[in-house]
Amino acid sequence: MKPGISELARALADLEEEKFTALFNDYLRRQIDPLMIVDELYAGMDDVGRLYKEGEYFLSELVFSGELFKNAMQKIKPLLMSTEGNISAGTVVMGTVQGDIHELGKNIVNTMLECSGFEVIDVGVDAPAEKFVKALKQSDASLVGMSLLLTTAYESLKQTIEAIDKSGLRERVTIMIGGGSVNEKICKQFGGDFYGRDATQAVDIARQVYAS
Amino acid sequence: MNSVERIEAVIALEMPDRVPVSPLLDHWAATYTGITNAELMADPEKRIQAVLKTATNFRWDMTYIADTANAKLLRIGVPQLLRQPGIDLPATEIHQFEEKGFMRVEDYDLLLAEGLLAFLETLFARIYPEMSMESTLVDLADAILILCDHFRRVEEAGIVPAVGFISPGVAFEFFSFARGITEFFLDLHRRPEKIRAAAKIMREEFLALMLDAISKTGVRRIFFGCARSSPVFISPKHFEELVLPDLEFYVDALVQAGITPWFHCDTDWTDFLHYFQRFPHAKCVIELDGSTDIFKAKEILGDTIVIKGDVPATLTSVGTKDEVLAYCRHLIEKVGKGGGFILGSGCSLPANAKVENVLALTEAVEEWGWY
Repeated sequence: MKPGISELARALADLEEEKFTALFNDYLRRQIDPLMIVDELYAGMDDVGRLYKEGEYFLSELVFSGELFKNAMQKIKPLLMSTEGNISAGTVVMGTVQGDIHELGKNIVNTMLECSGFEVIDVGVDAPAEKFVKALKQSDASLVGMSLLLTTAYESLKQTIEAIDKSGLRERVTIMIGGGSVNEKICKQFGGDFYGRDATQAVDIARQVYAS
Repeated sequence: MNSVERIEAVIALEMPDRVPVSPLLDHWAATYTGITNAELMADPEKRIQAVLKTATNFRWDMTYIADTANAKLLRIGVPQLLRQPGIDLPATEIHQFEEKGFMRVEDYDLLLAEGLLAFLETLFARIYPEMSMESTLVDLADAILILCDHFRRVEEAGIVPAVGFISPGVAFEFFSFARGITEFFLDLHRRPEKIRAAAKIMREEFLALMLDAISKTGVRRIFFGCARSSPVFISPKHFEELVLPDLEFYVDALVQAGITPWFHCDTDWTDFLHYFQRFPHAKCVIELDGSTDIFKAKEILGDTIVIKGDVPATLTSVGTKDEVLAYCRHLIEKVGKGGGFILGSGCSLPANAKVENVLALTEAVEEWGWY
């Protein structure tokens, strides 16, 4: 376990649901600064990501901790309204391209992005190119993630990237692609910038994009 | 050797005369023969004609009968909402499932208290309200009769039918689809004891169904879809506690009954391959989809289980014929060394696979596959 993180963060990273819930409720009862609580939650999820990368955790642990995190964030969000400043690390438009309704991978990526402080605009599954473009235009997102499991959706992937090109957004937007039918070569072949092999890699890509 | 002898030899880990070839056929049969996927899924006669034409023209040793695109069987066997071409999707698209959880947390207790039939009746009434248990059982009996006819016609063409029945899989896989992956992973951490107990009931009752189906179809190989129990999704601890007992139970019972368990492994199973070493020598099949390190599989399992795979869908759909040939040749030389290997596609042949790329699999075994 990573040293130096709070008890709340440690309980989250250790997947100790009862302890985590008790500590979290205690924080709320004591009216601890919500921004501080959020920081601790991020620290816990950061450690979950580390454990996943080191092969100690698997997708089931990512999903479980992600749900604990999301439930906690739902309770904190109203308290954050009254605080100043923007805690978002950046915005990411996510979706499964048209012709494919698989959402498992996309949803796990969404959760991990949210757990790392990113705001996710999810355009859903079977999403036509226009939906991605519209979400990018209406937001300040610098990153879009496209997911697909089926090789028959390659054409949609191509069309979506072409639509982003034509919309004039391409210079502003980085494209990451992931899913069962994608690899590094396919990503480059269809004009993507990054291939995201798993959810933690997607988070790393998002951090890289928003750091630059 | 003919195809029957070749397949028997390779599964028994004896030396065949050459590497057999057998891609996983479902929707590509429609692509190749020019029927729609709606027809392939709903019309048994068009489906088997498409299968026969494809498997014969490509000189395959063994073929699936596109039963993984059989709408009737998918509705009965997969606890998720089927989106079917011609009904929910354009006729030319392939089927998909919606990741919605229809099983509720209290259904574990229902299964424990009242058994499998009551559990399935409750679950499937939520997914397909128009289906009753009576109509489902009639549909299943009808589907098995059709399977028997299709297997006979495949065998008459000199081709070996791959599997005699697509099983609902181990309980872990079934629950993950029925609950939806998020809810199921919450269960995994909150109530593993409940999953373990429910799985025990499920496997005992499903076994009877599997034995009955295989006794009717006569093709003594049974398919187990393995995806969400892989090391991509779960830890070794969860696998050992909640998946392995089911696998050991089924392998023991099926092998004893003279039936070959056929593990269709999607996603990357490399870190769990060693668990398959415990199964009896030359009695199972492991089918890999291009994500698992098939060369490691040869190292770990080459003396235990025949390995089938794994030309990736990315390659057959957008690769060149030369790339496919080179990939197949490498597999034949490395994984096929000393026998124990069937050249196949990584999971299903994608619906947009190029004809020349599919033909490349056959040409590869005919050129480089002889022992």
